Parts: sequence; structure tokens; C-alpha cells
Amino acid sequence: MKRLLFVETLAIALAFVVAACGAPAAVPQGGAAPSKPNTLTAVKVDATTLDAAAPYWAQAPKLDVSTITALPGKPGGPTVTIQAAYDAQYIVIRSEWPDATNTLIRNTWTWDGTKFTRDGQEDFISFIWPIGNNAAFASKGCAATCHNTSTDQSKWWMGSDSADVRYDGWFWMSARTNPVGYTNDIGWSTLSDPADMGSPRVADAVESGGFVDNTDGATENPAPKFMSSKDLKSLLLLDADKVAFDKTKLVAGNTVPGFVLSKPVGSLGDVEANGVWANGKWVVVQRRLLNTSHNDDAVLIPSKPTPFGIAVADAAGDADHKISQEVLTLEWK
Amino acid sequence: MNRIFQWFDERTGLSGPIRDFLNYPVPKYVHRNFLYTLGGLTLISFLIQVVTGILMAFYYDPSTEGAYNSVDYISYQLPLGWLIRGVHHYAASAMVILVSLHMLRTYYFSAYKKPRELNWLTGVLLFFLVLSFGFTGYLLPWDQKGYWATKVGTEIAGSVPLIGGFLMRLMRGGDMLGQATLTRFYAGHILLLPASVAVLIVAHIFQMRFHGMAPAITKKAQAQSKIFVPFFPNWAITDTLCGLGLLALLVYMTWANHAPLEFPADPTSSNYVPRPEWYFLFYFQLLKYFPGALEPVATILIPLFIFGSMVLLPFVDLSEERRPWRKPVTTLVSIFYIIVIVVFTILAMAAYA
Amino acid sequence: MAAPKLPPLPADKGVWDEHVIDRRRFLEVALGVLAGIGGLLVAVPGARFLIGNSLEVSATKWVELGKIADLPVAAVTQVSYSTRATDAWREVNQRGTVYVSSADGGATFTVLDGTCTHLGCIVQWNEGDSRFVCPCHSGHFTRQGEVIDGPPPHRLRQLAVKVQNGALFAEI
Repeated sequence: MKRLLFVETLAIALAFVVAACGAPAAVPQGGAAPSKPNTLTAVKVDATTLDAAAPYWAQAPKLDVSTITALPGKPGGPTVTIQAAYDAQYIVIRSEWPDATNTLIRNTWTWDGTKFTRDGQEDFISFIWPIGNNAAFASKGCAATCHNTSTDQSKWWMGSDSADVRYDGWFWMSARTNPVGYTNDIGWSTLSDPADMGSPRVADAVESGGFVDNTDGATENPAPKFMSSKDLKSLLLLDADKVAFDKTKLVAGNTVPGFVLSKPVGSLGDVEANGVWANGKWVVVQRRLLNTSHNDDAVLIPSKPTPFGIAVADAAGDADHKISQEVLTLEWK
Repeated sequence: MNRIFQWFDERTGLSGPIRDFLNYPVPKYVHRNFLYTLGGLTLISFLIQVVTGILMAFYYDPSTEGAYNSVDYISYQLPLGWLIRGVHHYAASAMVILVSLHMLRTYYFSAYKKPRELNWLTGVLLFFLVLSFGFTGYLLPWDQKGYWATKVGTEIAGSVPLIGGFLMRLMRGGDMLGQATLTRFYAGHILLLPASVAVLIVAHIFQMRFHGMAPAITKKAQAQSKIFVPFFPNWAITDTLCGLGLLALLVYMTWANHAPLEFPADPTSSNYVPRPEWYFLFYFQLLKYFPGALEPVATILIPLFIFGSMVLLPFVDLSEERRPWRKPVTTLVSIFYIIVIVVFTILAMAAYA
Repeated sequence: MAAPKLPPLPADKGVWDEHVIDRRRFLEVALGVLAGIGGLLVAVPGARFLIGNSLEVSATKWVELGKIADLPVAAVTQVSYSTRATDAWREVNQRGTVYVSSADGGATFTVLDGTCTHLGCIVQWNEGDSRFVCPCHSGHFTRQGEVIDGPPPHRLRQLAVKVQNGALFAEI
């Protein structure tokens, strides 16, 4: 009987210890599959690169994010598969999603023989990270923070409602940033006038570079300012190749790129990118220092779970982007 | 060295009481039994909490705007902050486990009988103060988990008939959870509760030493009743070894799994599922079986019954028999309590996994 | 600290275990060592934690003081700046006082930290005497910040400046 009591005491102790370990111990872990929904687990590797086929991607758990439309009445968006890895200094995020076309146009000039028209929207993927600890975003994600769950578009905040609440945005664009290997590092600021749906996006500080609108700025009959010295048919115009625009070189049907591209120097160019379109899919790898020491950027701290959101667009303007419905969490392994 | 001690002793007169304290005779049957270390381990875990708690108080900000960020600062930006906070987190659970095991050991060895009834009551009070420590400390990071657990916990207090509304407002400092809640939980957690527990611990240890250990139960132990080892160094070494072992376990648990910090409290979130700390889970689950009009049974009758049975125990069980295998009622009642707690805890974990 | 010999127990109580007497010394030493280790395990991380980040030198940043056009060129102007800064775990408005003057009619600017180098009070500019005066212990500084007399040990700290987009910035 004494032995029974002794054993019983031990059993109770064990039961308490098991209880103390809580739910994580009760949930069986299987292989490399993530066990928590909406969680992107970043794996630690020796050195991160911009290579989409790097061997460590096989160990990085995949998160499939199904996107919904931000505009009422429009169809839902693609499922974006994301993975992440980090080393001592950098984090690298790989995103893959289906897209029928490799879009390289953005406000591209088209000459019809007598006048110019400008149109064209590119593909993009953007990541939004709250700067600092943000209770509302962590709880509801961008679907509620910026979009207010209201179906009345005029009621949407497209920025934060307080100067103390800031966001860091990584805005990868297929036509304006990918060709020169970077992602636009911007931020969301306060919207002083909620009725003004104009952009609260503020580009990070830049010393030089970045894409520049290719226009001569004339109020009537504007025309491109530059054209390519290398390939007149190319949809891309790099700053290194630009020459002054010469209308005599055009025939009807020709296009001139809408922007002059170059890689920025400064906080705007914090995020390097390598995006490749093939077989109806975009595969975009983006890499950034965990801590850029710029105060317009979110600091990513290994071991600290960080909420974020994503949005993609297929040859569409900003308003028609497809967003992650629930808040996503970046965790670290 | 001796002269320095003499200098102090002449002026403080402490050498006599200290010598008595250190030479306290511990029965050999106690010295040979690991179950008797549980009380000391509970005290050591309390001391660990005091040290880690004081360290964190140098950085913690008890305002609703600053609390989360200050805990975030401790966890991710201060050197070894993760270690201090982690040990504090796991030692809290350890203290609950240890005080429960210590209470069970005392219960089974019938150490609550005359003349030790008051000591048992002191222990019961200490037990509930330990649970209060857990309840108040949980809110302090002001993250989702702490906020919602406290919201539900104070609602439960509010469901007590007659005085419930008053109780809830007193705990919350108002009708909503907010700044007043945070500062009173903080003041309770670092001032009122430690002071009360410290005083009660002194009373508890004093009574234990005054009465000596409760008589041995088994024949083998009784044979050793007349043989003693001095508290210092024999028992003190056992205590120290166990304490270091506990500390090592806590550091290991922290290193393997940092203390969790969920996202900042969002009072408007509609899809967060509130959960209390693991040692309250059984009660949280129990409440589900007493809906509507039956609620007062779970919020008043059951807690009153548990508390009442613990308090009245020494005055109800008046027999001279101490051996648990000859006391079917008390033994079976305790086994029933334990099974209920374990089963409902497991049910709760399964429901929320 | 304890008596070298254990006092005998009262006869009706019992006796000390026979092994107690010779193992005692060993156990005392072992206890001291273990307790010492335990103490160190707590004290060293505790001390490191308490020191925390207090020895870190905060990074300087460029703070806008105002538009060049708004700054009087002949006079010494007191400028109170406010900039967003991180204070431990909080984001705050870091405020301070500097004095801006120009010796060459606005071509270049001198920005002086208004903190007296004696014990940290903010100095005041006395236009009549053309000198900075510290109200606490009457330290005096020239327009350029050099010590004239009084207790201050060093001149007023001069901040690096730059002009960008028509605004004056100081490195604070």
C-alpha cells in the first residue's frame, strides 16, 4: 500500500509536468509540415542567397496563402506559396504564385502615328510589416486594419490612423523594380484625411536611383523624355541605356517604356529581389538585412513571432489587389 | 575570522539563535526521504521568483501603453532578458506543482493533526496565495493571453450571487479591464502578495520547527525516530542540491522553449479564444458543465466546498490513525479530487489544442 | 560559523546519528561550494541583466532645426527641437535646446548645445552682455561657446551642421 502511494505520488507529479508542458507537447509534430495555420516558419541556414533553387528551400516549410479580393464584387486571387530562411544577418523570403502573363508594362507609351496614349499595369507582390508592436494589426491583419471590413470603399483607411502607428512595406513590381533586382521599400504613414484615398504610401529615404516617370512633364500632349539607346522594342528602359527621346525613330504601334529604371541607393533599396516568370508562375526571392538600422523599416528579430500581410496583383492597379485574409505570422526555427 | 564573528556577536547577540537554527535536529527518517524536500523546494522556487521578479521590475512598465513593449524589451532586447523572464515563467508553474505536491505529502502523512492544525491552515492560505500570484502575474505582459484570461477570470468572479458585481469591479478597478486593473494587479503581485507570503512562510517554518516533524508512519521510519542529523550541513545540503537541480531544470526549459509572449492585447478581437493558465484549466473546463441557472454551483458551491474541506480537515479528522492505507475516506477523497483535476485538465487541453 | 562540535541532544530525545560527526566537516565545505555556485549562477546573469543596455552609446541623428529663411542671421537664436526617438521600449518625442548663430550673415551656421558643461543646466543668452549665462552657478560663455569665467570645465558643445533643401540640420 505504501508503494502504491509512492507510485501514485510520482504519477501525479508526472501528470502535472505533462499538464505544465501544455498543448505543444500534445500536438504531434509531423515532418517538415507546419502545424500552425497562417504561420510562416523561417529556417536557420548558414548563408542566404537570392537563388530560388537553393538547396535549403527543401527544408523550409511552405505556407499557402489564399488571397481574397480587396475590391467588393471582384474575383478572388491566387494562392501564394511562401517560404522563408534566415542567417545571422539576412532574411530571405521566397514567394511563388500562378500568373498567366509576364507583365512588363506600366504606364507604357503607345504611339499610334499621331498621338501618345499611356496605359498598362504591372504585376506586383507586396509584404506589409508593422513597425513596432501593433495590437490591431496582430489581431486582424491588413484585411481589417487598412480595409476596415466595411464594404463602403469610401470608408477605408488606406494608411494608419495615428502618427505613432507605422508600417514597413516591401513593394515588388514586375516592371519597375524587378528588372534591376530590387523591391521598393516603402512605408505606410498616417492618412490625415480619410476621405482622401490618395496614396499614404511614403517611399523610404533615398540618396539616388529608383524608377523615374519617363515623361517630359508637358501639361498638353505629354511625351516621353527618354528612350532606349540599345533596343527600341524593349519594354524596359534602364537608366544606363537612356538617351533623349527622338520622335523620328518611332512608327505607329511602337511603344516607349513608361519609367526609367535604376537600383536605388539608400533605404529605398534595402530589399534585393530576384523574380523570374516561367510556365505561368512567378517565383520571386527577396532578401533584406534583419535589422536595416533605418527607422523607416521594421526590425525582424529571430525568435520573435512577427505578424505580416501580403497582397498580389496581376496586371492590375493598386486598388484591385488580392490580399491575405487573415493575419500571417512569421516564426523562427 | 573568529574574532570578526565575536565582534559581531557581541553587538548583535545573534550567534545563539543562529546556532540553534542551524543545529536543528532533523529525524533520520526525514533525511532519507525525498518527499520531505518538497516544502523546501517550494520555498526555493518562491525565492527564485523574488529574485527574477525584482530584476524584471527594473524594466517593467505597468502602464497599458508601455507594459507590452517593456516585456518585449526584456524578452528580445536586454542581455539575458529571455533567461530571467523564462525562469520566472517556468518557476511559476513549478511553484504551483511543488506546493500541491507538498500539500499532498503533508495530507497523506496526516501531518495536519493535533497539534499541527494551525500550521495546516497556514499552508492552505499559502496555497491560495500562490494561485493568486499566478493569476495576478499572468495579466502583466498585457498580451492577448493575459488580457483575455483576466477578462474571463474577473467575469467568473462577477457571477457570484449578491457580491459578484462588487467583487468584479474591485478586481478590475472599474467595469472594464484597463489601467486601474493593471496597476492593482501589479501592486498586489509585487507588494501585497510577497509580503503576505513571506510573513506566512516565516510563521509556517517557525511552527514546523516548534512542533518538530510529524510522527513517522511506517515501521521502518519509526525505528529511526530517535536518530537525528543536524539541519546544517546535512539537510541544508540536500535542500541546496535539490534547489540547484530545480534551477537547472528551469534554465533548461527556458533555453529549449523561451517563455511565450503572444501579440499585444486587442480588446476588440472577436476570434481570440481565452484560456487561463494551465493550473486553472480544470476549473475553466468544469464551468462548461454548469450552464445557466446551475452556474452558481460551479462559481460558489464548488470553490467553497474545496476551500471549506481543506480548512475543516484537521477538525473533522480527529482519529489518531496516521497511516493512509488505514484511512480509506481521506485517501479516497483525495484520489477523487486528483482524478477530477487531472481529467478535466486533459479535457480542457484537448478542447483548445 | 557553526560550533565545531554538535551539542548533545537531551537524553530523553535521543542521540545524533553516529556518522554525523565525522562527515560534518566535509558536508559543510560541500554545502559552501554548492551554495557559492548557486549564488554565482544567480548573481552573474542578474548583474548582467541589471546593467542591461545602459552602457550603450545612443546613435546620433540629424534633426531639422528650421528653415534657413526663418533664422535671424545677426542674432543668437534659441531653438527648441523635437524629434521622434526610441527611449528604451517607448517611442517618445525627444526634446532639447540649442542655440543657433551665424558669424557670416547666413553663409554658415554655428549650433551650440544649450547644456552647461558644469552640471547640466540650460544656459541663457544675454543679448546685452553678449554672452551665455548659466542660471545655476553663473558660468559664462562667449557667443562661440568658449568659457569666460565660472565653474564650467569645458566650452559649450558644438554640433555638426548641414543644410539640406533650405533647412538647417544639426547632428544630435
